[in-house]
Amino acid sequence: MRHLLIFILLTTSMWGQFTPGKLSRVHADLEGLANCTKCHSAGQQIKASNCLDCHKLLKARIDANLGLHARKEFRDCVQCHIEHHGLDFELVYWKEGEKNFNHDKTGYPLEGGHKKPECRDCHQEKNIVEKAPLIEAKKELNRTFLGLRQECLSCHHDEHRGQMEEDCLSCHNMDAWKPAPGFDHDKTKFKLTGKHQKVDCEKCHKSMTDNRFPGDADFLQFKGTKFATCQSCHEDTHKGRFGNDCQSCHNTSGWQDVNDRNFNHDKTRFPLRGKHGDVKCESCHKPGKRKRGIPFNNCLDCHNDFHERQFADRPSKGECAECHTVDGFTPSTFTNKAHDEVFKLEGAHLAQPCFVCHSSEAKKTTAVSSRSTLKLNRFTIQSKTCQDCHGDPHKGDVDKFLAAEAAGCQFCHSVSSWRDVTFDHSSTRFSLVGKHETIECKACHKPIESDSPSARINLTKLDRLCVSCHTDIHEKQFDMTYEVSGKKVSVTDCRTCHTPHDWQARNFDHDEDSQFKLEGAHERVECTACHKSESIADRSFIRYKPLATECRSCHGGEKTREAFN
Amino acid sequence: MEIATRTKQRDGFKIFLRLLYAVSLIIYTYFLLDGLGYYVTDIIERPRHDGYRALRPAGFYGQGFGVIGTAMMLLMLLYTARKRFRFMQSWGSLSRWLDIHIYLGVMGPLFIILHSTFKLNGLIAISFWAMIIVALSGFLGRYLYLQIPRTSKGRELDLREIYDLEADLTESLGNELGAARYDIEQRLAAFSNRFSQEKSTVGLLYSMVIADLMRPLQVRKIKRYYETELQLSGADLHRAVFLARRKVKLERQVLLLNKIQQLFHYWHVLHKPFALLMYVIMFLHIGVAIWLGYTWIL
Repeated sequence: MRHLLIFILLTTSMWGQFTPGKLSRVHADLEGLANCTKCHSAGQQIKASNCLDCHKLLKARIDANLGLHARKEFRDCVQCHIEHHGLDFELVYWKEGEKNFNHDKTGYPLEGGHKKPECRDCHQEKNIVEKAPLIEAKKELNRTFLGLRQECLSCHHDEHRGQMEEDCLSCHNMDAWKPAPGFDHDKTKFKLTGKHQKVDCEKCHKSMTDNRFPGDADFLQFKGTKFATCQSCHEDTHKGRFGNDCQSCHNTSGWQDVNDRNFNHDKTRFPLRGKHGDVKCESCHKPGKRKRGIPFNNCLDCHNDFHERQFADRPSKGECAECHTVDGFTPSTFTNKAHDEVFKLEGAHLAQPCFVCHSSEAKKTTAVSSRSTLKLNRFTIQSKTCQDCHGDPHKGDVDKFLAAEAAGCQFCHSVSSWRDVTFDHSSTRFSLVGKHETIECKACHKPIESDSPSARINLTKLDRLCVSCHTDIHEKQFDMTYEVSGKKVSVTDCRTCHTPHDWQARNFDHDEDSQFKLEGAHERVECTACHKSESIADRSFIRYKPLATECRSCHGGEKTREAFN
Repeated sequence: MEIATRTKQRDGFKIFLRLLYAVSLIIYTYFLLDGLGYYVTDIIERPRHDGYRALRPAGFYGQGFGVIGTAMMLLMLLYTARKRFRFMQSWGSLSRWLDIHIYLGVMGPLFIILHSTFKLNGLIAISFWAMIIVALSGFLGRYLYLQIPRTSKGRELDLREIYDLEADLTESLGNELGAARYDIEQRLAAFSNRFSQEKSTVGLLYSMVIADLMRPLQVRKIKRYYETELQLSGADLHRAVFLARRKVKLERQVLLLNKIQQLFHYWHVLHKPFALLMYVIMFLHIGVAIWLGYTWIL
C-alpha cells in the first residue's frame, strides 16, 4: 500500500492533478505545475502584477491611468477574472451582465446613440486602428475590448470627406448624427435668415457620390458652395427681367413677402398703366398667394366680365380692349363707326345716348362682382328691325304697307325724324289734291283714343266722304239719297259744288244746278239777298234750299222793298 | 447489578454525545442550506454566483469549513495516539475516545465536503475519496467493533470473561423466568444459530445487518411471549427483555467471535492506509495552499 502511495505521488502525470481545475483556453499554455507561480505568488495568492507581466498592453494603460482597469476597484484581477473553471470558462466576468456594464467606468461614458449598439458593434476588428500591438500580444481582435480610441473617426467614417475639421463633437453630439446642435451656420460666411433657417441642408448643399465607404455612397458638399448671389441656388423665375438684385424686392422671410415699395411693376410683362397704377397690390395679388404666375393676358383673368359674355361671339371674343381702356371702364372707346359695322347709326339714332337702345335689365344671374347692383346693359340685339326698339305705334294698322314693300317703317318714316313721313298718299284711294296737299296729316289723321302725341293715330280707318272730316255747314240742305247695299243712305257730296282747292263753290252753276236761273238784275244781286241766314238750335246757316222760286216769295214784302231800295 | 451501573455511567456521556451531534448537525445543516444555492449551481456558473467569494474553497466560509474539517480530521488522530501511546492509556475509557473519534469522523468529512463545494478536481480529490472511504469504513468498523464483547470502557473481553458474562446473564434470566428458563434458552438459541451457516464474509455481514435490523421484531416477539406465557409485567418484564436481548446478542458475539475478530483485523488494513493516503495528500494540499498565500483569516 505504501509503495502504491509513493508511486501515485511521484507519477509525473499526477503532478498535473494538483491543479484545482483546468485553466481556460486562453491560459491553456499556463497549464502545469511548473507554471503555477507565473500567476500565483508564494504567500500572496494572485497578484495583479503577475497577470500584468503577460498583459503588457493592459499594464501600459493602467500605468497611463487609462481605462477600466486603471480604476482602483478593478486593480484586483481575480475579482472578475476567475480561473481553473475549465477550458470553456469565460474569463471576463460581467457582474451586472455584459449589457448592463457601466461603460462610464472605462473613462469613456456612453452617451446618446452610443447607448444603443451592442458591445461588439464597436469593439471589433474594423474599429481598431493600431492592430499590430494587439496581434503581437496574441489578442483576438474581435474578442478584445482594447484597441479602440476615443476619436470619433477611429470608428466612424468621415461623412464629410475631409471638408470639416476632425473634431466631430464641435458640431455633432452623441445623440444622433442629425441635427448637429453645435453647428452654427451664422459663423459661416453665409448667415441663415428667414426661410433659409428652415431649409434642409440638402436643398443648398448638393449630394455628391463617393463610394469610399461601404453603405454610404453620398455626402453633402459643404465646402465651395456658391452663395454670392441668390441665383447661385435659386432659379430666376423672372428670367432676368428684374435684374440680379433679388433682394431689392424679396427677402429671406418668404418668396411672397415682397417689398412692394421697391418693386417696379413696369419691369414685369404687365406694366401697370392707367387705373392699374392706382390699384393696391393685394387686389390682384391675393395675400398668401403666389406673386408670379398670375395670368394677365386677358382682362378677364382678373376682372369679371361686366357684360356677362355678351361679346363672346365677336371676332375678338369679347376682348375688353376693343371698347375699354385701362383709364377707366367708361367712357367706352366704342365709336359710331364701329357701331356702323353692326348697326349703322343715322339720323336721330346718332343723337341718342347708348342706353336708349341698350337698355339695362335686371341681371338674371347672381352677383358676379361688386358692381352687381348695377343692371346689365343689353348690348347684343339679335334683330335689327325698327320695331325691336320702337315697337309699333300703329298697332298693326300699317302692316299691309310693311308687308307690301318690305321696307319696314322706312316705307313712311326715316331715321331722321318720326315726323318726317314720306308717304305717297296717292297710293291710297284718297289722293291729296288742293288744300288737302297743304295741311298736316294729323288734320285728318286724328288720335284714336286720346289727344296724346303718342296716341295711336287713325291712319286707315278714315271715311273718304268730305263730311267725315269737314263739317256740313249747310246743315244737310244738299244731302242726296243713295242706295248702298239695298239701304237708302242720305249724305251730302260736297264735290258737287266745291273742290279741294278752296271753299268757293266752283262746281256750282246757279243757272244749271239750281231751279232758279239768274238773269237780269238777279245776276247783280248779292247771294245773301236771296239766301238768308237762319238758325237751328243756335247754329246759324244760310238757307240755300229749298227756296220758293216765285217772285213774291222774295219781293212781296218789306223785305223785298228794302232789297230794292 | 454491575451491568446496570455501567449503563447508567455511560448515559451521561451518551446524552453529551447526542447533544454534540445534534448541535453540530444543526450548525452544519444551517451552513449547507445557507450555501445550497451556490452548491447546486453548475460549476462553470459558480463564479457568477453571489456566494462565490465567501463559499468557494478559498473563501472565508469555504476555507473556514476546510480548516474546521481538517482540525477534526487531525483530532481524530488522538484516538490512534490514545491506543498506541502507553502514557495516554489512562486518559479515559477507549470507547469514549472512539465515540469522539467517530463524531469527528462523521463531522470532519461533512465539513470537508462543504469546503470542497462538491467540486472534486485534481489530486485533492484522491484525498477526498480516501476520506470518504475511511469514513464509510469507519461505520463498518464501528459495526464490527460492536460485535466484539467489551467492557464498558471498551476493552475486549477475553473468552473466560465472556463465558462468565454469559453465565451471569443465564442466571439472571433464570431468576426472572424461573421454570421456563430452558424453554427460553432454546428459543434464544434459535435466533443465533443460523449465522454459523454463513460462509462468505460479505454474506455474513449482510445477514448480521439484516438480523440487527430485525432485532426489534424479535425482541417484541420475546416480550409478547413473556407477557402471555410467563405472565410478566412492569419492571420484571423490562428486565427480562433486557436480559434476553443481551443474551441473544452475546450468543451471536460468542458464536461469531473468531470470524469478527478476523474481519476486524482486515478492516484495520482498509481503514488505516486510506486514512494515511488522505492525510498525506491533505497535508500536501494544505501546504500548497499556505505556500500560495491562502491562509484564511491568518
